Amino acid sequence: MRWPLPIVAAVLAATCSEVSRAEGFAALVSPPRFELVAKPGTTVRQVLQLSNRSATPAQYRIHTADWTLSSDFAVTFRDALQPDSCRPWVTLERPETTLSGGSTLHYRFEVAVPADAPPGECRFGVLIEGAEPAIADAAGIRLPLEGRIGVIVYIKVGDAAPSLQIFGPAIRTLNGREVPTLRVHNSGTAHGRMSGFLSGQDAKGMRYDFNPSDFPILPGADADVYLIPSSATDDHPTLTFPVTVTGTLEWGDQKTELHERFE
Amino acid sequence: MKSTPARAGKVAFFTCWYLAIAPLSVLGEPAAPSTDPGEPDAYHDRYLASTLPPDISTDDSVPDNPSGLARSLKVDAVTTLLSSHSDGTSDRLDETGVMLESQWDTATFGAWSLDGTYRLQGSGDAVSGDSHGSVRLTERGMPFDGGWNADAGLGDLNAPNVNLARFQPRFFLPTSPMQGLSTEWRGPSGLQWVAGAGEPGIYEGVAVPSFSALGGTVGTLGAQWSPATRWSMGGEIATARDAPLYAGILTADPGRTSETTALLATAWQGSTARAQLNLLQGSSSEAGMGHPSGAWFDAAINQGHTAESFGAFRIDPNLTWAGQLITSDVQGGYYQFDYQSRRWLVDVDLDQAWSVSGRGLDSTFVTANTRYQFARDIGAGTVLNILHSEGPLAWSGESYLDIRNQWGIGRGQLDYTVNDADREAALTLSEGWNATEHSHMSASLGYESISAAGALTGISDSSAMTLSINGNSELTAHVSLDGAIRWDQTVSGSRASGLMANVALNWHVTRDWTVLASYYENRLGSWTELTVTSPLAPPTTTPIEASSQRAVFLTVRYQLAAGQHFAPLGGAPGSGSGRLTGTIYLDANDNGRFDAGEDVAHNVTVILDGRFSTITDASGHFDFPAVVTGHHTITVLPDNLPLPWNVVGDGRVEVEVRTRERTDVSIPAVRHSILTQKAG
Repeated sequence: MRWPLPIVAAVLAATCSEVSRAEGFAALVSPPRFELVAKPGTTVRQVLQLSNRSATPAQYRIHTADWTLSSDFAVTFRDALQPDSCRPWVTLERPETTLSGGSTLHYRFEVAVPADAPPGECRFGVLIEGAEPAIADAAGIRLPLEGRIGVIVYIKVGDAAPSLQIFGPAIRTLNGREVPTLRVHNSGTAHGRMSGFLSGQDAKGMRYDFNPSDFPILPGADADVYLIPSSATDDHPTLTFPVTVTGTLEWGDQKTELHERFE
Repeated sequence: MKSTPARAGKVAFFTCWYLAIAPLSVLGEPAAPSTDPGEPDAYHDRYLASTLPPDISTDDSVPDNPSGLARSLKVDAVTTLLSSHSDGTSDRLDETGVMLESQWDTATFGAWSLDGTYRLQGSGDAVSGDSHGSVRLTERGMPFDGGWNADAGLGDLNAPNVNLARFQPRFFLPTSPMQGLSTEWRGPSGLQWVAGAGEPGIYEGVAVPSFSALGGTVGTLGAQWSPATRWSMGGEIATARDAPLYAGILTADPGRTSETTALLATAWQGSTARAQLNLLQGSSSEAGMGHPSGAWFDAAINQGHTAESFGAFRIDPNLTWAGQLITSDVQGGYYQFDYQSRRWLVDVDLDQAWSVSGRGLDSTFVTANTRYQFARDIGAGTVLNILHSEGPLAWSGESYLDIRNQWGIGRGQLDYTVNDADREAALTLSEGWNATEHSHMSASLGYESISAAGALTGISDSSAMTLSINGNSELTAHVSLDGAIRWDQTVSGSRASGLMANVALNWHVTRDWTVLASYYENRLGSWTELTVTSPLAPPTTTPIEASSQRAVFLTVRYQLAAGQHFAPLGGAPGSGSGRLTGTIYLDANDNGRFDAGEDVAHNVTVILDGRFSTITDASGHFDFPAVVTGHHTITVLPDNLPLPWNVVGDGRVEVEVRTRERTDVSIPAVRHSILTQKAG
């Protein structure tokens, strides 16, 4: 199953809190991702927090998974070991645990990078699953519930770095509004995220700031970077094309000047 | 496909998990938990030794025992040892005591709390050496019919104010600490009543506050309401009789006052703007105090990334509010402008004040704060404060540059202050270090130069180096440590060196027991920094003698929480509720009354508001013990009625439930033939 993240996140986040309150059932994992650096032959150790935010005990299974990201930012987790996976470098604390209501587990994991590991980026996910359907008692109705969450781990090995090339302006629809978009290719050895401060104006002469979307762009992948407009009085303006955008784009320790017309 | 409860439940939980990672998605992180079906065998992970104990902590917000109504108890046993030395003299303050906080919810009488402190041993109080503690019983949110709810308090508390008096951007009306009674009632149309009276006093103590009554009487009585959408109007009277007169800090021998002050206020609240006008009129029995008055107007406009606020004021000398001096003998105006975007932060404040009587100070105060983000990793800003009052112009400026680097975030900052006493310049370099999720550390190194500008202070030119380090770390799931140290070393001049250190340990021994311990030491040199803090406070410079303080604080805490907040059917926690009961009977003679000899209908489903259901018992009774106050619909499902009986109409009955009352209904079922005849 694949989920286009920008759309699904907004819809589900809006509905979830209501469900969560009604059934008194919630779990949280922090942080949502790790971005680590390691040299070959060293071991990095980290801790994630798993909190059972309900009043009832819950049992969890924890394991790793490989994952891939499509151009529309949909993610697919794979339990089976994928080619070039670095999951054999990973050691988790324990396969499962039970948390009483309101308790938090400081879950430890470590990644031992082999001494002969080439420069590159190790990526995997730590999946935390409800080990058995929990029972939520809401207004006298008992519902079996199950679910899981993935924590993404990136580890840059050696001097791995992203190398992003912008190869074309485009116009895409984001949340029902057309926005200027850059097509970007990553020819580097680590994922990159676009950032920067951009400004410009549309066909009506209205001036806006533009905020590049910072979705990860994996090595070898092409991706859309949305330039999301805002003004002093409107965080969700509707643009009239053509739109001209200028400013500085940054990723990793690199940057480039942008002067682009979108039409 | 038809949705089953189980399927619905799975979808619901998935959305909750997703909410937990929603912020991550906003940041562009892929984490939606989905898998590709039909994969080959899963990989088997490696795990650490099974002997590794799980590192689990507990969250105090989730009770051990969720049954019953919410209730909590917290008891702190506190010991403080504080000693200070200054100019050859030594003071010592020892304090030992107990602090209690308890709360409990009721189903229909609001939430109650009993708080208190008791000092087993104490010394060093400024005003009263014989105070032993404080106690307060409060009730909040007791519901009544008609949309009313009420708060009440008894003991050591503060005189209440109406909301219009509480929310003031430029001036505020203080609430007087007192030993007495207070109450607040909130009703429909924004109606609010407040009243309170008692003997005024102050809180003393270091860690265990205790109330000292000071004689006299203070009281407030006020009301406000919303006569129209967006409008609020209100008034309040505050009175004092032979009460001590002070402003925040009480001296050993305060003067006494008997006065009454009245407030009238009106406010307009739009979607992006707010305005409020306040009028004060005082009346004092003291000779020479007269009938001072005051008026001030405040307005604020928020639009997008910009916020503006402005106002004008005039307050006569000697105005008080329930025995406390308020800012008075002042007239003028102010304007504030704020703008924030991803790249810019701009904050400008202008404040002009003149003395009404001519005996006070006139002052102009300007502050400007700007920050500009040049790039993702580089930002810079300046802060400028200017005060013009009596004497020469005083001003201070600050400029800084923030750079994100491989270790964390670094800052270089230059400060310069000029006033009628001295000139100060400081250069500071600081770094906030990247650390793990459960710890942080930052450090700064600074150089300060102080040049005496006149003969006011007698301070000679000095310079000093400053090193500061602070950090926090969760050593284990149950133990955390906070620490900060600042070291000032004189390089030249007469200024003394200084050292400040503070270390705090927090140990969750068990879920219910916690130990908090901290040590504080402060050795000050004979100099204090001068900064512009208020347009109404001129920069007076008072040489401070070298001094040292050290203190140990130890708290052993026991806390317990159980139960859940009560929510009646159809309402939120704290809503007023009543009991709804009824009987379904077989109306054999079709007279619409439950007569002797008529049978009842058992095992019949009764639904409240289409959401909550129950079943009649063998006596035909049904019972909803707690239903939110107001109008409800009962629906009787005829499925289990014996033939040929059926419900009347569509089986719906309208009822009105009143707070803390029982509403009982008798619902008839009639023979099908009768229904058919009526329909024909």
